[in-house]
Amino acid sequence: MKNKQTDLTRRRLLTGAIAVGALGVVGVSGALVATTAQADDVEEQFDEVYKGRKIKGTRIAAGKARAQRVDAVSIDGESLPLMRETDGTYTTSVNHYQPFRSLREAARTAVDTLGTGTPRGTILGHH
Amino acid sequence: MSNGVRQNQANMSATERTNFINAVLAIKASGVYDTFVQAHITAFSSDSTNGTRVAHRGPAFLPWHRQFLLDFDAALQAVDPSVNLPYWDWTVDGASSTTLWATDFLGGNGLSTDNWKVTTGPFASSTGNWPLTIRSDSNTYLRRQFSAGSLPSTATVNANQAMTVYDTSPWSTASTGSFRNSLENIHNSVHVWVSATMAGTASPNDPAFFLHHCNIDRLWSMWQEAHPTATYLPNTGSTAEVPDTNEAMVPYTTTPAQMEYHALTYRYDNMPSALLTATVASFSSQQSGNPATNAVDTNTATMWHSMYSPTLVQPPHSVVLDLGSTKTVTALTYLPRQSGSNGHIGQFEVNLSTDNINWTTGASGTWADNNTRKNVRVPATQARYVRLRALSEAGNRGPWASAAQIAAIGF
Repeated sequence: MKNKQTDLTRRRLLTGAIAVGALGVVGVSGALVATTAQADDVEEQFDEVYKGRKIKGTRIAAGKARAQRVDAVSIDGESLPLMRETDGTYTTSVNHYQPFRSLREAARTAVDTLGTGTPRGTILGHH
Repeated sequence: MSNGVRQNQANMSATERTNFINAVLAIKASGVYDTFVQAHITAFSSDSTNGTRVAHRGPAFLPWHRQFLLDFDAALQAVDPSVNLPYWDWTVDGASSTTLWATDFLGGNGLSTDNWKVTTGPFASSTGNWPLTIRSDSNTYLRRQFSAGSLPSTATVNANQAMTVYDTSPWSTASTGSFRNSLENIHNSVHVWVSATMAGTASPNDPAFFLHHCNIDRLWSMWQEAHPTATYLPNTGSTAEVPDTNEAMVPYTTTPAQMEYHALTYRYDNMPSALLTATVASFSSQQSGNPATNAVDTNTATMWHSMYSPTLVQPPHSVVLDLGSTKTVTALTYLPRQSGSNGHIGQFEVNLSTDNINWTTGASGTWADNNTRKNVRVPATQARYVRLRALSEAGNRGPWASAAQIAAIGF
């Protein structure tokens, strides 16, 4: 295995960036990206009520924009941690054994799986 | 003491079921259980198809979880030495299982009218035994939402078992013709089937996680026995993003190679291979004070050493084990001397015979120059005599051979 440390660091930075986004903007991590990204950079964007839950999401196109901004999904204002795969699919901390083609599908399935619960912006556990 | 046999949960006695559940509850109460949940979340949050991946989505998925289960089993046995982790064969036991989801075992499905909360059995929230403290969402109690769909079938498992290559490039979710990727996908579908707590990164909060992974580990073991020459891949030592066979699987120092054979610590009830007792039938030479019988005693501090005084005996060196009667031999284990390094075996052969006259070669290769245990599988062979031949010294320090332990594995 090569470049393990670099990859781990990058991975942690990405996770951290999502968490900071949720804290830095009042309740809405998705809006942070949406308001600062150029329209052309946004591949997918939604802001809707699904089963009574407010879900928002923004997916940034691959390329230059991706280096500066991260994808984001929130449920009732709480950030849903995402993992992007090389094939372009996503998994989330709530549905981690299931790939999703779109962030909307990921958000809706998370709502289905969470029941009345909400995700936690950082997936590292705390007592 | 544990007998080291991991059995199907459907076949456990009432006492075994009670002991297992009590041990799980004890390590939850002590805080040890939650360290496993945390370790899994930490591993998962650093695994990506798009970067480093150790525990998931790559070749180390199976050996990483084997180490995870070994640690969990050890934690249970520290509480009750009689306990062994059982497995859940989901090709047989689905939603209607009367053993797995019983009120004296894992408890049942969640209640649709109560946020899919598990309300029966020892892990129900009302018992107070099972608060979810380490978790990835705000739900503080165990939840299950069984799918209306099917669990993986026997046909699916059989097709997976028939695959011949452990893993393939790009060593990820995109790998095709990969036993590991196929089995990992089967495994994913079981997490999705149970859903709720089992669906997320904190899935070990459901004790079903451990019985499910025990079954995955069993399927890997069965595949290994069915394909004795197939090994963990990749083995180049420089594959990007994933552990090669001799690289540590973070956070463990354990390598995939060290996890490839487990008959010394545990076995599965449907797989009989275990350590076989043996005596020494013959040996090429032995040094005074380091006789060949030291290689078959239970003391790993003593060793066999080829003769170097008064005569320096040249390789090849060998020790022949006598199993007492004809057995089915599936592997050989070699433990190098634990202090010092002279005589570590490098190039080796494992030979098998029913009469101590006519021999077949079950395996050959070259071992690394260190004192960690070496296990080598052979095609299942009927044999009474097992010979380990040492053709070279691993560090080229001299024409010697030594061994703390040489043993055959089989049934």
